[in-house]
Amino acid sequence: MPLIQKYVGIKKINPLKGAIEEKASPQFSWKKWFSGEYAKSAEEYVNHGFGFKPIFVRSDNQLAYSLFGEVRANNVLVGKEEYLFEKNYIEAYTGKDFIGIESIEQNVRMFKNIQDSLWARGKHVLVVLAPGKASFYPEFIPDEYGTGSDSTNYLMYVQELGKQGVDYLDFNAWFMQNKGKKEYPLYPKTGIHWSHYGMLLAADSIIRRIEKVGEWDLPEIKWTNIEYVDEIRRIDDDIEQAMNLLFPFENRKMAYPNISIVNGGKDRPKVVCIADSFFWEMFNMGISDKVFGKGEFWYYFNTVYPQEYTRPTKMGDINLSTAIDSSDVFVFMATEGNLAHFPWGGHSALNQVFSKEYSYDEKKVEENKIQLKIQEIKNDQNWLRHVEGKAKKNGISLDSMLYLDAVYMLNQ
Amino acid sequence: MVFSSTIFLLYFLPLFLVIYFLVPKWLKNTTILLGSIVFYSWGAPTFIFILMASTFLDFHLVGMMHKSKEEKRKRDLLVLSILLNVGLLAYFKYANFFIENINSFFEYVGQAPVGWIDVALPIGISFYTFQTLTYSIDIYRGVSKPLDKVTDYILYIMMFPQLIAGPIVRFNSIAEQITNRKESMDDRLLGFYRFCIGLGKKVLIANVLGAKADEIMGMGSFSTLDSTTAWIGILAYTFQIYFDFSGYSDMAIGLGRMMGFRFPENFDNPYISKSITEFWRRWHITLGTWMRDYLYIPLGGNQVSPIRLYGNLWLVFLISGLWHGASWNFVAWGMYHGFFLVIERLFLKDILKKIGALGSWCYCFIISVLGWVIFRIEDMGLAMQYYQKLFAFDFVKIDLLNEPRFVSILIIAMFFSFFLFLPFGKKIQDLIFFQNYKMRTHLLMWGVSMVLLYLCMGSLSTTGFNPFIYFRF
Repeated sequence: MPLIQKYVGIKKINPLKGAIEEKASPQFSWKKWFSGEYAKSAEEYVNHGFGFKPIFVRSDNQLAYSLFGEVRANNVLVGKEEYLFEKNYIEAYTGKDFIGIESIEQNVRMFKNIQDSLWARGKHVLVVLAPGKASFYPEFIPDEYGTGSDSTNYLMYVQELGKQGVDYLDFNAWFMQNKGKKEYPLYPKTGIHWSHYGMLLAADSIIRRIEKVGEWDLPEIKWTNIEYVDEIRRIDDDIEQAMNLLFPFENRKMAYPNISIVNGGKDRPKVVCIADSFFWEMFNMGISDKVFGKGEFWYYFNTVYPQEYTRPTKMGDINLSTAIDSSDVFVFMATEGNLAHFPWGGHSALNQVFSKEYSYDEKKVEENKIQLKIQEIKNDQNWLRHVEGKAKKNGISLDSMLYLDAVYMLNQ
Repeated sequence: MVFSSTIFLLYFLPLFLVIYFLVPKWLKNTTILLGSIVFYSWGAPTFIFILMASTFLDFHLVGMMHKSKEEKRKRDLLVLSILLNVGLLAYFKYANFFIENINSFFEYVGQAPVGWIDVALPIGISFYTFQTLTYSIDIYRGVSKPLDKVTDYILYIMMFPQLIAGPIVRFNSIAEQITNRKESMDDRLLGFYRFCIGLGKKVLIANVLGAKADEIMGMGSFSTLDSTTAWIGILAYTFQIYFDFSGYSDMAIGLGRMMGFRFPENFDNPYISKSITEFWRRWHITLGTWMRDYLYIPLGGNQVSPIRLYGNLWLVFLISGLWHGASWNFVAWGMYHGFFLVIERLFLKDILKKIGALGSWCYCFIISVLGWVIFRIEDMGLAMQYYQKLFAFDFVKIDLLNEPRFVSILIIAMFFSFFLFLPFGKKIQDLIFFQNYKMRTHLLMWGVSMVLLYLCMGSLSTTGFNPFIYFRF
């Protein structure tokens, strides 16, 4: 049956969700046959997409979850009452990924330097701290993962941004303050990002802040009506989708405002957003295009959108100096789970353009991160044992192996 | 191609079976032969030519031997056939090991090492060699007549269900079936059920236990290992190797039966044994009986002086260990088992009788579990370190509830391994494996098999951990 399904397609099956690498159909040649390469690639091709595979995968994932509580999606964790988390959010909330005050001070100093340099050119910087699910729903974090810490990247960023006078919006604090006070959920149960409703509130605030700092008149997001439904839409169940289960989780009602971007306002400043995935929903609803005017999304300071849609565009493909000249506002945005690597080199790259004399001790910051990662490995007995094994196998000292592994992990 | 791969289960096997069931009787052997060539070439596309050429040559050597009237010529041709087959095994499996040890010695005495390019180990060569030897020796002994057609001989040697990892099918036990076998719908169904049970043993049990065993025993150093983890690791491996290998044998027996062949049983609940002697009557039975009939008995069997008998016994087990792999740890494992076999014959047998069934079982189970340490860990220094950790008595509390899958599967593995201890165990085993089914039983087994197949496909779809341990031998 799977063979027939593969080539005839007896039944339409919903594809699996998540990042799945496509495999090309193997090309036969005698050379490949005798080297064993053909067999290897043919097996990979068959494994990757045989008929009914999504059903088998979902069944196995469901059994693993229902019988053993195993979650097959990378980095996903099921919390109390089946609230879903990603582990890095909990590590951020409990301070396990804390990169140290020194690194954060240095990062914020660079933001400040960028801000001052941009102000001198009539441009602006806004740092946006997106909410984190672990901070928002700490009551649903499994007990063994610990509790909140006073030394977290988020708390230190808030402290430093305020202290050094960098313009920022703290949605993490705002979401926590408004938890349960808004009419509709700000955060979903089975998604990792803010709810669609919460995102729209945040988008509105960002637009208003940009309007204020630049004294511009921007288009508005108008809400016509709100559908408050049992059905989960958009990305409000994005982690659940990635788990690829047979049966959905019991979910709560979510709100979906119907919106339109009113074509009023006379200004369209070009806003570049250097952000993690929290900006995706805003970008997809047209905020960059319709509100900011040819705005760009530099995803993790790695891929450039919307250019990527027409041809692959990485940061290395664009001229940063020209990009700065042609933009009006730079928004740096990340959620707590991504603050350990925030802003992914974006600040040092911009800083180099602005200020040759500014000295950024990148080496020191990187070394600091490596030492923290080494400590993380040492704290995990299984991981440490594994590294010890590798050290012996490679004939190098444990310290050297720890260092190499830490660097490897940080580069992932 | 392994049986528990999607390409075998979803492409090769269904297509092969459809063709096999559709072709007329006179084409069935050709179909199996072609299928076997495709199957073997898939994993060893270059070695297939050597294998087929040597099989072809061996067939004619044995044919000449059979026709020869002169005893000396007969014996010479037998020796030539044995040299051909053992020579292949020696070259492909042991040459690297031999050169490695020679070079270690040269290094020790300050001499330059011998230049050598490593030879790749063709899959299933140990099983191939033992089967070719049974053909030559059985014909020489007059136990069987040689086959008329070379294609039938190649079929016997290369038949894909058993070529890679056994069971070792002796020529005299299958000669009749190659040329004249009956197939029935009952056989096809029973074969299918057996295949699904084997697949389940491999995919649902051995793979899970194997992941844990690898996690613990695959470490490069055991310096930080505690005794609890060490025991968990070796227990996981103990049951992994049993379910892996016996699962493969079940699949091979099942596939053979679907085509009308009756392959010999390879396992009979080895972990319920009450002595190492009994263990070897229940573990890898076809290897044990091969060693007995083709090595131990020719060395004199029980008809020699006690000292020679014990020496032969130990030698047989040493060779048996070496057959598993070209490494000192396998030699040590063979000697370890040989040692217990000898002392059981010398005096332990009487003590075991006195301490009763439970005591004897404990002894045998612990000895076999401890033996797996040197089987699993190739580096003898590391293996000794593992033994130290097992008996360091630094037990720590481990919350096994954090690993519900491993614990559940380990319990299931233990339940089925010790199933015959249950009062109804033997009855159920005979009902499933060795009796004719009524329609109701067929329906039940069909349902069970389909569920197992579905679960295995699910598991294979989501995991990449799927190695067969015995493929390397």
